[in-house]
Amino acid sequence: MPADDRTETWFADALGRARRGDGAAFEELIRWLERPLLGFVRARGVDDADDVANETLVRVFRGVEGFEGNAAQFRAWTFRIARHLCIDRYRHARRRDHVVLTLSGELPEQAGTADADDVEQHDRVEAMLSLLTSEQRDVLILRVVADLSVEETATVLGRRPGAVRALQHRALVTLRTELSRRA
Amino acid sequence: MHDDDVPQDEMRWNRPYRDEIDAVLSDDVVDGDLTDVARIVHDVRSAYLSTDHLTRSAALTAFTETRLGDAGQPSGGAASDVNGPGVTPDLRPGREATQEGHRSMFRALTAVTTGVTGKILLGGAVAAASVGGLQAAAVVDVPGLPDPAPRPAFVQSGDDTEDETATDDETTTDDDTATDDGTATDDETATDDGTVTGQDPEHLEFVAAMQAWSECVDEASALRDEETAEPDASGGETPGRFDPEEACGERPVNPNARPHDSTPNGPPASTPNGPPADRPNGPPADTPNGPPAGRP
Repeated sequence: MPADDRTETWFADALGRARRGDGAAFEELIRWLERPLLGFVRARGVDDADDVANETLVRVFRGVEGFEGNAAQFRAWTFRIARHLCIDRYRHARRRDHVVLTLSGELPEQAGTADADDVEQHDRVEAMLSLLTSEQRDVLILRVVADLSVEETATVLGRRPGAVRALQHRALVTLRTELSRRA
Repeated sequence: MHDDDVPQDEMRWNRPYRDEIDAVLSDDVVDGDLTDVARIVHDVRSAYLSTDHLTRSAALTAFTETRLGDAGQPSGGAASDVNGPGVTPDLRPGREATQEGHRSMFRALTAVTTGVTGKILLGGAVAAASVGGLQAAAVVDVPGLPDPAPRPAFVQSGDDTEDETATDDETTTDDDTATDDGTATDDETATDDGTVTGQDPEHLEFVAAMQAWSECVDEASALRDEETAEPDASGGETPGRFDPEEACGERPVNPNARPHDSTPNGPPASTPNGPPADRPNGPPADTPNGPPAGRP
């Protein structure tokens, strides 16, 4: 049985049990989604990624009774909620940072206590992704970090799959050019 | 669809699309063109994807602690193959928490219901008492309730106070003091509507003055009687009619007396304030202390 078919079989069973309030089913769904969800939220630049991921999953589980679809659609629905929450957090953080800058004249400190290598790697990737437009960045993160297909990514962003492919292509061209320049 | 249209499958076949990221993630053969893409994908995934698990909030934990009612054990077969080891948490605390939640909800509902019922009953009692009070005060006339009671009156007699009810035609004669000359004194004033007042300072002064005047009249009357009983040394004349005002001065006037007191329809004979209008100021003819009526 192909992996996609096994995933769909498992998802249908887990979704049915989750609708009946089975905590084990929720646990399985969390383990299925938590890593790509955390990665997506971190890549969106949200300070408290755990908080947004928790809120996303809680909203998803509260609406699980009304969900109709397969595993791919469930993932797309989940990341659509997560993206909206990230946008809300970004707006709130921008207002808060504006207040902090106005009061102190200094940039707020970056959260986290990562290693120096990790920070360097993170900063290098951030510098590369900063060359992309917002939509190109969203497509790349959803495709690479959240591991969504083109169709799922199109569902999350509310675009057509062809538009997603075009955005992805232009993003990769930009990054390749940057890598060539650095080399 | 027109006849010359090409089916979608054939169009896709004729224009194959090979997604670069899908090719890298599916570990397809990466040729030279995809090396840069593979590096980008690797860098991005290593920067944001971590092996640590989500730190779960209480709200999210509440979902995982729930338990199927009677649906049996949660299955972990296919799910374990896809998502790692199956999860078999001890769900008894979750059931107890759910039951405790139901109990607390029931307690809260009971408390709310009791509170609302108590407030309704208290409001009804207050409303009934208000209507009863208004009925008693003759402000409203509610069928089914007893007629308003007569208006209470406050009576002060000397240092003692007591409540009594006086009606229109009723005159209160409490703690009356009758003098020999028929003057009745009392600490109270009866008005036309039967209400007796005893708090007026002018009235109290009047009562005190009236009492002093009455005592003076008594003494003067007794003295005159003694003089009348003894033979006059001078063979004098029989004393004339006893005039209390001549002996003790002018009789105190009741400050609360109504103008119509002096009318023929004045206060009744039993009115305690002052002598009756139809009585003479002197002692009555049959008064033992007074001179006989037929005496010359």
